[in-house]
Amino acid sequence: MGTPVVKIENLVKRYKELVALDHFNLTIEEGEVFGLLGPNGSGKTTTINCLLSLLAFDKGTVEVFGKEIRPDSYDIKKRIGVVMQNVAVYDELTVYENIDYFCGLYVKDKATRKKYVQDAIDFVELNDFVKFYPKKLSGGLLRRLNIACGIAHKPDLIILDEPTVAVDPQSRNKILEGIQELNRQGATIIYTSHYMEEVEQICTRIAIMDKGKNLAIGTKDELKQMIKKSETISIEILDLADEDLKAIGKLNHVYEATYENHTLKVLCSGGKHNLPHVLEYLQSKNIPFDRVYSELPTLNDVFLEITGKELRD
Amino acid sequence: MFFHSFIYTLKTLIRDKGQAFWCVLFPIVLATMFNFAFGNLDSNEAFSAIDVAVVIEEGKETEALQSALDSVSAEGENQLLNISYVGREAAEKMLAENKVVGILTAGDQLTLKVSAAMKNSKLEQSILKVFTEQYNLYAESMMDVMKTNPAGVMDLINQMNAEANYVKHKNFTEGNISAALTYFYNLIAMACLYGSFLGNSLAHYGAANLSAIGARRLVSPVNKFVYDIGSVCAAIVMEVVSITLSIFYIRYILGIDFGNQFGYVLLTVFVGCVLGVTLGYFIGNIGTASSQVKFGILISSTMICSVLSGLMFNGMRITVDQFCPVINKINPAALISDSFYSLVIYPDHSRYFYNVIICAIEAMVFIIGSFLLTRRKKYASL
Repeated sequence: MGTPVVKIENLVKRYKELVALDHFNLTIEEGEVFGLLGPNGSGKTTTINCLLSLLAFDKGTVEVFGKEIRPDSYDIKKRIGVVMQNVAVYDELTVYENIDYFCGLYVKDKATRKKYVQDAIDFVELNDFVKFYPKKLSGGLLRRLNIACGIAHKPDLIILDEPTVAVDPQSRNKILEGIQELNRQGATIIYTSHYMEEVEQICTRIAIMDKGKNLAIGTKDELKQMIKKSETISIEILDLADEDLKAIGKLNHVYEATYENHTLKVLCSGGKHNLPHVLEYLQSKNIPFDRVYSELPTLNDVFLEITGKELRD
Repeated sequence: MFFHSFIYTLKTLIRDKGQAFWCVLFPIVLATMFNFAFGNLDSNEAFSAIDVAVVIEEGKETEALQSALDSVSAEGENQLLNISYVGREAAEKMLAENKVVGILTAGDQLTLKVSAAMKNSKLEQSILKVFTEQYNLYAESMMDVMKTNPAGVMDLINQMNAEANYVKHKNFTEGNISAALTYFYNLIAMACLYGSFLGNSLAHYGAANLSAIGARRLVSPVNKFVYDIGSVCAAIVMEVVSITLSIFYIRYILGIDFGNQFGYVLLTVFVGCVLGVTLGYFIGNIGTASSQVKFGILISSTMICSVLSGLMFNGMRITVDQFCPVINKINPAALISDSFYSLVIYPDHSRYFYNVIICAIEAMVFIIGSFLLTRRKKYASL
């Protein structure tokens, strides 16, 4: 394994009494799409700001491309692209001028810059809007412009801080597809979000954060294997006797069964064919049932089991 | 990087309607208002002959009075009175209609009647009073001499003629010392200091804790010193062009004379704009307050500086000089307006260059202070 792209060790950041990052550790390898997942206020953006040497921190080390990053680490910064949570473009410049301006902070050669700017415009599909001012763009198009400004110089490491906040589903899909394409082109991606579906969809490895701590880290499958629940079965039943509920709770791999609002909910841990086993029991007792659902665990379940609260709280 | 920063900063400033208002429109609007308010200031101060009605009572000897009145009403630059010889009734009517400042009646003595209702003619009334008293004094002296020593009358007349005025009016300068002009100097000084709004805007877009654009710029591999010099230069160019436009408007549309040393006027504008922009840039980089708060601080501080330099009241600078002269030595608005003033008033440029050099030193302090504040900066919170 080569030098990690990002290595954060024992990072502590305090805002007066509040501990925003509590001995936080993280290593990101080249070529990863790394997801930082956590609720609002969990420390994701603080981590990114420390990583970019914008924020002073109290303790720990931050290395990017094998070197400690400082405000004047121009050789490192040259290889980083950042898409901020808030849209960071000039209202007085057109779409083209904004991308050219931010690209120009990294690329001096005019011919190269012109090509890069056009590539970025093609990438975010803003060709029809190059002469538009940002105020004339919809929320989704504005987010795409924000991304183009951050990635136009073709960086090796791209940091995207909640780039899909307040974006319509169509634009969101385009953004997520674009991020995967950037990764295929060779960029390492750090993606922060509190939308677990997005993180599940695009990230190869995920760290779950809360209260400035790294609670769990791994691929989505590895994270799901960390928790007890492997399947949730929901069945609509008009009436269910207590003895039947108790009997279902004693089936193999079932660790919890509840009946509320005419819905039987069965939580299973491991095992296979859990659904057929429950349905067989109901049929054997001539208990009529209506719709049946089976859900695999989500990252929210992982977060819920680790912290005792919902990710969306 | 300098030119990249310069060109794009200039583009954003030119297209920013708010900045355009403060830089270009506001000084022009204010200059127009000043022109309405102070346009007649100098003409109000100019002296014109006093309209007066003269009534000669029947049977009175008035040869000497006639002679005196003829001498003070003769047309020319020394004309004191504009006399109408009328009857009593007509004179009263003219006074009631404010057509004359007073009525001189030639009786046993020369008497004066003025109207208390004419409050705007106090100066003219005082002159008439002095004239009347002096005439009566001379007439009485003449009568006394004629009674006691008729032979000495000629000596007295010779003495009177020999009374010389030992005070001669001489202009201190060949330049235009119009009172209204000083208001326009102060206006231009204030407009130069409004360049601080541009400086504050640059600081806003260069700070990660104030704007997302600032954060994006700070994570780029850009030498902040070179980049910021480019931005500040763009703001100075924008401000100099704006103020020069205002001066052209004042000179050619409003017809206010700025003298014939236009090169020095431009140098003053340039130094004033550098001072204004760097002041705003410095204030914008201090502390963690929002740009709006800093804008408020700048607008109030530039206003205070302008008031102290005499924008609202012409004699303010003299008052400041009496009570705390150091303020006038460092107040940017006072230094800029005094530079314009000294160009017109003083034959040499020593005072002008003193002001310009102090402005330049202040600008240097602001720009160096700004770079020290922002150099390799990491934020405690964002």
